[in-house]
Amino acid sequence: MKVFIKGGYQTKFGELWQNSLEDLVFESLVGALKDSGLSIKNIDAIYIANMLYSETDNQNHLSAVISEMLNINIPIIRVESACASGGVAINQACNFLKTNQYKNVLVIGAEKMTDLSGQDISYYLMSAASKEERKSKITFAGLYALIAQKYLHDFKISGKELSEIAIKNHFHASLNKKAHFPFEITYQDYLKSPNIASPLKLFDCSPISDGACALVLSNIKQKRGIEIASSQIASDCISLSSRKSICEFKSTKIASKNALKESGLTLKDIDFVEVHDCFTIAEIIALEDIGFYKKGQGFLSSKKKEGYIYGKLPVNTSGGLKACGHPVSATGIKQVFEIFNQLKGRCKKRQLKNASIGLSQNIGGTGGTAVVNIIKKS
Amino acid sequence: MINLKNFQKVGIISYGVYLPSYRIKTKEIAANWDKDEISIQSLGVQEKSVSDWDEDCLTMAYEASKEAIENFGIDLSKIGAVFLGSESFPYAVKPTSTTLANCLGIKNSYFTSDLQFACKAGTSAIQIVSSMVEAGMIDYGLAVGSDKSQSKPADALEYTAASGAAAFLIGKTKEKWIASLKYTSSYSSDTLDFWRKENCSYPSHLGKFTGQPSYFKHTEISTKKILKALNLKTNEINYLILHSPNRKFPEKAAKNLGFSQKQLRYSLLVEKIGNTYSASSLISLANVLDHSKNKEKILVTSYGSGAGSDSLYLEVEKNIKNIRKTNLSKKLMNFTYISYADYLKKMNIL
Amino acid sequence: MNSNSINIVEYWRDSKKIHKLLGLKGKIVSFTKISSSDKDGRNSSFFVVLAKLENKRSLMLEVVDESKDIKINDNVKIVLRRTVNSTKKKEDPIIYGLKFKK
Repeated sequence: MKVFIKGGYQTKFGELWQNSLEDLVFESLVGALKDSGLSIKNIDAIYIANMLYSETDNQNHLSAVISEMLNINIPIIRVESACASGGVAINQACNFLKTNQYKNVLVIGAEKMTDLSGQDISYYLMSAASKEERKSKITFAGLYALIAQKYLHDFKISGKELSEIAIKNHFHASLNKKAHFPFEITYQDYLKSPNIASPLKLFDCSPISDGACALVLSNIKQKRGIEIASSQIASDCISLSSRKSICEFKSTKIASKNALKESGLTLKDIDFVEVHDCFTIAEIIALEDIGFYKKGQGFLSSKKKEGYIYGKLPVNTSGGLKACGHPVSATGIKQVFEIFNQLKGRCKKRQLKNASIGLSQNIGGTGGTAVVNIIKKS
Repeated sequence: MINLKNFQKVGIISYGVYLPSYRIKTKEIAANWDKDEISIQSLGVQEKSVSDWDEDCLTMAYEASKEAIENFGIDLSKIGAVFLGSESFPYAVKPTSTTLANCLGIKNSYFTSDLQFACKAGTSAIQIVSSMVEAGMIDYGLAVGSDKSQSKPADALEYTAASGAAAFLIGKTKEKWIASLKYTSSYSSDTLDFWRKENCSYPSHLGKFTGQPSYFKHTEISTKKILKALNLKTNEINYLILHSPNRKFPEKAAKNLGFSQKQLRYSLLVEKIGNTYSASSLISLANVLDHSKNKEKILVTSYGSGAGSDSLYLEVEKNIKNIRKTNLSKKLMNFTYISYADYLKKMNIL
Repeated sequence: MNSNSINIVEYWRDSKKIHKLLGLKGKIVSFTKISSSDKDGRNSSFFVVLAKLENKRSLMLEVVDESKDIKINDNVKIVLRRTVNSTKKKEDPIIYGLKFKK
């Protein structure tokens, strides 16, 4: 049984003071239904991805919140896997569609992060890390800084290579109206940005954003549809101190290998990717873990311009997490939506020519969860 | 009345000292208050040790105790007592000695208590542990003095109140003694020279009253008493250790008692580290032991405000050659100077 | 979720194992200097180190303020320190923990 994407919608990502989480959920699901040409009556189940609401607002049981919002009684399931919540929700929705007589599923990822102070949100984001890591007082940026520090030391690259990731993603975001930061940056801008956790500077870090994204998935056969060819999850130790190496994510390696196997495709078949650049170093490592670049050479994607929209393997045409924004649980869904839009030819100024297969990689924490979805033209 | 007992079964097995890594010069403190350097020179203290914001009585006591234990290599199950003396315990109610024992890995079968008696709580710990060893209640015990002494900004005590810890492993095994403890005695009275009420951050003191009726009276009487009971003359003692709230007091007391400055030479660390309160006499004793030889005689008289003095008479044993020393001389040189602003942050005043 | 409450029972459970780690030596695998102020209101920057210990396990800990010059492959030792500078509630107990010292 195949799973197709019928339609979707992304809210603007950014500091959305006027919108509550419920507003963002509502806006995205209404938009996705409209884009699919369906009404809520056609939806058999909803997967809602959200990480932080239970902590920031003491609100669990989001399923019942949505039931009240829409006056419906269908199955609604909340999914949480830190920053991989969105990707995992898509995976679970696909599995649901493959094993049930239900036809259409709505997958929503939403996050409200900017109401609280940066310090408070920083604290809540550390729930994606381990107890030991929280006790060490390290911040989330600090965890990726440890990874970057080791990587820079072992593979002899510098902050310049990291900046090139941010510069590329900002270039892409400047072509995306829905992005949190729809503007370009220069290397000088990068250098002037404050130090966050050595060696990472502010411009190495994805922002704190509000936003939501929703997709309608269906197992009704479609001619010329956009199909989710495969969706695979893998997990790994929550603590960096339990890993053999901190410069690679085993979870990405396993999930991508399995996703390629499930879809019957090879790396050469993939035309473009959306990877999880929560921090610039994460994009480099993702490209290596999936296998597009050899270990220690992932930086070439940006340096040699291969990752730009006009390059041989465009990476993060949406602007990535860095520049499009990172409302945590919306990201994994936004990645798939970007691929969907590219395949549908709806990306306007950042439209790729001749793309027919895209791959998304969505990470939870420091690689404790990885989800890889491969989407192709049917 | 004290029955002066000749201990037969008690000796120091090993010892450890912890000094924090920071020092502040007294002239730095004076400059901050626009105080004339000359007015503080008479104290004879050049600089004092400062512990970090995350250090306290417990963390320093742990370091010193760990060193004492490792220098000997004792099986922890043999330690039957842990007594910790301080005037800066982290809690008003909750023993720190049990946390110390837990961190060291000493299991539950041990005598213990926190002891408070201003600067003499450390020697009181030695007295109690030694008595238990002598009585056969325990084979080995740990006596520790540790303080992160607070002083009110701009007060005279600010120039001397310092941080440090020392620990003594005391036991019955004669062959392992580096110094045998032969006698101990005390002289106490109810004297209001220095006090700190609960909920007050800083101690108060009665200025000049802390001299003759307090420090000098108790120190001199206690020392004279033990010398008389031992039938020893002052020139028969190789090393004298007197509590050092500053340099002036012990030098004067030694002179009053008929001792030479040479006998004090290893116990005037106050000049470089300030007054480490409950650890003061103990750190001086450690320094003396670092430099002493077999058969030498050591006399310690501590002083704690409120008030009282403990005197200890020890004789160095031949095993002193075999002990791993604390390298106090090295520790005394391993530090960085800090500014007054940093000092306030590290003392958690800011 | 109350970000300010300490699980004292958990602290007590963990404290039983503390003596096994105290004093252990290790080698720095990676480190970072955190520039932003932490929730304790202590505004200064501090280091966090991931080190491989002599017992083959790795551990991530804050570094004591006095160890400033940190590099990969440097030697470190585990020491006992207070880990929380000030708690919101004055009545909260003092929390001790492990830190790395060069």
